[in-house]
Amino acid sequence: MSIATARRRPDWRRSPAAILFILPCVAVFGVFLAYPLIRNAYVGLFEWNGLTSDTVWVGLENFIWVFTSPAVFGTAVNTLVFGVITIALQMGGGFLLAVALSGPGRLRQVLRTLYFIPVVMTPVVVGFLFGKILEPNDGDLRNLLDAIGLGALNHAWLADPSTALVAVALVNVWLWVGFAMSVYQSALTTVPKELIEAARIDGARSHQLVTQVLLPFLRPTHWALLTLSVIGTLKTFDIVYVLTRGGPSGSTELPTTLLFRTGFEEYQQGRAAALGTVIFLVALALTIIQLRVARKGDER
Amino acid sequence: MFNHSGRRTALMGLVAAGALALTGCAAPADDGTVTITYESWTPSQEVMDNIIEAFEAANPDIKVEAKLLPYADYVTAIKTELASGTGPDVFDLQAGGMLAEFQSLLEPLDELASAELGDDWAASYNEDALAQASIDGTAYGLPHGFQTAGGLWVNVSLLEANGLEVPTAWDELVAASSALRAAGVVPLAIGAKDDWMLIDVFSAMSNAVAPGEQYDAMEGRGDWTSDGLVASFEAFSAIFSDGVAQDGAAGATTYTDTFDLYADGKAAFFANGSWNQDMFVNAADRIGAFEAAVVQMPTPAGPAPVIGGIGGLLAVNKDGDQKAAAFKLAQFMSSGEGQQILIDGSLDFAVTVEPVEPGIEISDNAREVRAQLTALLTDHLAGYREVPDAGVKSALGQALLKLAAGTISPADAAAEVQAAAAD
Repeated sequence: MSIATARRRPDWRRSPAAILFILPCVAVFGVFLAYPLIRNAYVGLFEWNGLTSDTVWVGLENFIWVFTSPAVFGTAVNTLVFGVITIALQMGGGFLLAVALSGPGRLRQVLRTLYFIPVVMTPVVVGFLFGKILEPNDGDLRNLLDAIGLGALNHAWLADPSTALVAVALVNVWLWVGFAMSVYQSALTTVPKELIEAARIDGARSHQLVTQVLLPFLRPTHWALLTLSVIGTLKTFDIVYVLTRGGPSGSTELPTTLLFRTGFEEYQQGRAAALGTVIFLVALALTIIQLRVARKGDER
Repeated sequence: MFNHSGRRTALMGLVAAGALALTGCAAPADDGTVTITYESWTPSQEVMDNIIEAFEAANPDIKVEAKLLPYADYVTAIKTELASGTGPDVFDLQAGGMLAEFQSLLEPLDELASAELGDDWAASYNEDALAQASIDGTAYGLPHGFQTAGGLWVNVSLLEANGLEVPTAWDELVAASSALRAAGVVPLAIGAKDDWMLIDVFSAMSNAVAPGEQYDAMEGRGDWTSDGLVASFEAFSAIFSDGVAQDGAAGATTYTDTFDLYADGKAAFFANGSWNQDMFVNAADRIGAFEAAVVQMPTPAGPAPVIGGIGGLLAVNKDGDQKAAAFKLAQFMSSGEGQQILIDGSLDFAVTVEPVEPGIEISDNAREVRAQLTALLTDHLAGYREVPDAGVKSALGQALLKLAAGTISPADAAAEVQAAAAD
C-alpha cells in the first residue's frame, strides 16, 4: 500500500467545525470567482446589449462566433506573436539583467531600481509616453534620429501594420522586464554558494556557470514566470488600447481589445461574454498544462 | 430577462441602496433641497463649474454633483451604472447608435418639457437638432451644441509661407501636400486612429462622390456596396495613398496628436469639426501665430459638403427619482442660460431657433472662421452626422482604418460594412 492510499480521507461528518473554517474561503471563491464565471458563460448564451433587460436566447451562437470569426482568429495569431516576443524577451532579458546586476555595489543597486521603475508605472501612462515618443512626425524618437543624422531610420512604427505589433510588444517588454529581473534576483539568492564554488573548481567559465548551473537550477522560477507571463499575455489590454486600440487593420488586436470593442462599442454583450469565457478557459488550460509539465520536469 | 433574476435583483438592490446611502441623493434634504447627479465627457471641468454655479443660483432648491470622464471611460461607466440601477439623474449621450441602444433607459421628455416650458416647447429648438435627440418623434434628450464635421481646417499662414494657395480641388490638394512634404511641413493632420474622425471625413466625401447614397445605406434603402459608395471609399483611401495625410496617420489620435501638429503650426491642414473652434478659447496662446480658415474638403468629385449634428443630448434617467429637477438642469444646459456658458466655452452653434453667439471676446480670426463655418452650415450641409446603428458604425470605422493603413481594397471595405449592416 502506497503512502498516498494509506492516508485517511477526511470525514466531514465527524468534523463539522472544519467546514466552518473553510466556509469563508469557499464563500469568497463562490461569490467573486465562480459566480461571475458561470454568470458570464450564461450571458454568452444570449443576445444582449448589456444595458436593458431585453435579451434573446441564442444558444451557442455566440460561442460559435468566437470559433469561426476571422476577427477572433486574427487576435489568436496576434496573441501568439505578441506572447512569443514578450515572454522570450522579458524572461531572457530579466534573467540576464538579474545575473549582471546581482551582487553588491551602489551602481548595481541604482540600475536595479531603474529597471524596476516601469513595473510600478501604470500601463496607461506608459502607453501615452511611448505614443509621444514614437509619433512619426514630431515625436521624440524622430527628433532624436534627425538630430544625429539618422533621419532615414524614421518610421511610423505604430501606424504600419507590419511593425505595430512588434512595437507594442517591445513597449510591453520595457514595462515588465524589471519584474522578471526582480523574480530572478530573488531566485538567485537561493543558489547555494557551494554549488557555484564547485562549478568554478571544476573549471566552469562564466557563460558555462550561467547556462549549465544557474539556468537549470532556476527551473521552478522559469515555470512560475512562464505561467504568469502566459496569463499576463492573455490579459493584456491597457497598453495595447492606449497605443493602437488594436489597429491599424487589426494588426495589434488582442482578444481583450476585441472583447472591449464588441461589448462596449458594438453593444454585443453576449458575444463579448462568450469571448471572455473562452479566454478564461484557454488561460486555465494553458496553466494546467504548464503546471503538469513543470511537475513532470521536477519529478525527473 | 437578466433583471428578473431574483438573486441579481437582490444584489442590485443592495448595491443601489448602498450607493444611495453613500451619496444621499435620493430624498430631499431637511432644508428641502434635492441633489441631482450629472455625468458626461463634456464640457471641461471649468465650464461645468460655471454652469453649476449659475444653475444653483437660479434654482436654489437643487444641488448638482457632476462627474466628468474621458469619453471612452464615460461610456463604460455609464453603461455599468445604468445597468445596475445606479446611473446619474442627467447624462450625456451621442445621437445615433448610442441613443438607440440607451433608449429604453431614458425618460421620454414630452411630459416633463410641457410641464416646465409649455406645450409648444419643441418650437424653440432647431428642428434638425431636436430630431437627432428623438426617436420616432419622441424626444429622449435635449440637444446641445450644434456642430459641423467634414470641413478642412487650413493654416493659411503656413501655405503662404510656402508659396501656396488654399486648395479648392483634389489635384490642388495633392500638389500642395507634395510641395509641403518637400519643405518638411506636415500636409493634412488626420487622427486616423479615431473611428469617429474617419467616419466624419468619409461621410463628407461620400456626399460629394455619391450624394445621398450613404444615408440610403444607413437607413436600409441601399447597399454599402453600391458603385457610388465603393467610389467614395476609393476617394477616401486616396487621402492616404496620394500622400495628403501625414506619415503614420493610422497611429495618430485627433486629441492630441494631430491637434498638436495643427495648433503648433506644424501641419498645413487639419481634419476636424467645428468644435475645433474651442482652440480660439482654450489654446489661444498656441494658435495666435497663424491665420486659420475652414474650407470644404476637396475630393476627386469636387468640394465636399459638411455633415452636421448635435454635440450630444442631455437625457434624464428613467429610473431617477428627481426627474423634474433633472429636466431643469438638462433644459438649462440645452437652451437656457447654461447654453450661453457652453457656447462661450466651446464656440459651438446654438441648438435653438434663436441664435446664440459667444458672449466673450474672441479674435478677428476666430470671427472669420466662425463666419466660414456658418456659411458651410447654411449652404453646404449634406445631412446628419451620427451613424444610426452601433454595429455598422464600428464596422465602418474599422473598414476606414484599414483603408487608411492600406490593407484593404475599397470594394472589400464596402463589403465589410455591408456585412455588418446585414448582421
